[in-house]
Amino acid sequence: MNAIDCTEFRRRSPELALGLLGGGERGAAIDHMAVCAACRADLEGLMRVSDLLVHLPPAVEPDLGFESLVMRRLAAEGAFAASGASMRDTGGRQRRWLRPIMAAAAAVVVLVAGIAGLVARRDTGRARPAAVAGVAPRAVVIRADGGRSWCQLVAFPATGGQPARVVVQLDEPDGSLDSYGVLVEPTNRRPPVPVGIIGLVAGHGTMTASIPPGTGSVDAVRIIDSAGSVKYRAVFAPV
Amino acid sequence: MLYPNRCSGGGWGNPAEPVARTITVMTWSAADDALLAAYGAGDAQAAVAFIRRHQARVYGLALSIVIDSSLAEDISQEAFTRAWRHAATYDPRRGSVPTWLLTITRNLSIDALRLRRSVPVDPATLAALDLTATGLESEPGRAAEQGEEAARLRGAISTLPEDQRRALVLAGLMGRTAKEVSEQEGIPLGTAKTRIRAAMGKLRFALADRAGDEIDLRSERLEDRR
Repeated sequence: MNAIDCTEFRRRSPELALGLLGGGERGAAIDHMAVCAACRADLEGLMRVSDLLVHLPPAVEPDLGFESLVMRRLAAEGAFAASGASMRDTGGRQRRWLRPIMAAAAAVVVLVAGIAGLVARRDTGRARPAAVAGVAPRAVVIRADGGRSWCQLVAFPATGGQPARVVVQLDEPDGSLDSYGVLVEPTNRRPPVPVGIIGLVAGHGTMTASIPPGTGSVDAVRIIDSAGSVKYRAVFAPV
Repeated sequence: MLYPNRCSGGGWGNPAEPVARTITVMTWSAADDALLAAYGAGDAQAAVAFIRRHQARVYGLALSIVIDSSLAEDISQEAFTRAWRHAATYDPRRGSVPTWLLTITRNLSIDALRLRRSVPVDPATLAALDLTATGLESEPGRAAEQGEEAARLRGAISTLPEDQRRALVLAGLMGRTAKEVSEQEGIPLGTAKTRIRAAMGKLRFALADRAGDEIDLRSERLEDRR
């Protein structure tokens, strides 16, 4: 492969940014970019243009029924079955180390909740959302470690035949721990309820868990590690 | 509709409870990311919300590229299917969810066009493709951020000479290589490359507003004369 200089790189960079360069030309440009910060910056500017180009065509609503067609296609691909399996898995494969931790966490929280009930009375009169029933999904995104770690949560209310559920996605660059416990915090300082385990593979994990019937409204979700420490706690905004 | 949020470190109102890391709050602007995560996890409600939020822009982009409503609908469906399949690979540090999803759509549209490679793009179609009016109605935070840049880009596109704008649309949206642009437009390959490069350079300049970019534009003009 022929090495190229900055001048040649900049001749090619617009096409590289648009994804139009093939084989050897692309390889040589990428090789050059790896050792030249100025050309890398040049390409970043062009990539921004390329990214924005896709936003320019006008939005056009597809025909009625489009959404149903996509949903049917997703169902045929097993999209929603996979979610059900994941829910079952999180319950069935709950790791042994987490059971005592979850129990202990629940016990500690009962105690703390009792103390907090005495000490932090300011919360008791606050209007709380009916989080689990009859409201739209609510989302929380937490960045930690200077933006290197992400915790994303979405809580969905119970509908027709489906229970309320929470979806958690974790991204951690180090991935030193491979599993976390997920607990939901009901309103009125009742003890947190364990709903599942999220396992990380290469620092990334996603899980969906049903919130057990009878839990009632949920104010917050907490993610705990194997030592029982709270790694993330997300409080949903009042609706 | 997802709501803004508040987050906090610590747990259950007890300040003594250990927290292993500093938690900072990122509010509303990442709701697309969270919705995508739920969509990727196979949540039916999230899927409906995700599709509703993005379908007009996905379909609009596909339609702009393939100019065939039936094919555009197929492409849009496939784009949403791929987004579900690859949701776990989405990296928010590399771009917004709409950009990611629309890039999937563009690539699928280009693939579909390649199957009909012999069909040239009708010049009237190119002329009618209105890149100066659109809406970025995703979640407000990100939309405002991208909307401002998109507005600048639109303004810059409107000032491009017609031949450069056509080259840009053919290459940037329709995935035509410089060689294909030259064949479509009946111009030498070098001229096609120059037009693409000049258009991209001007748009980058409009976004970056950096004087240094003028140097590139000058060199492009010099090359154009050769």
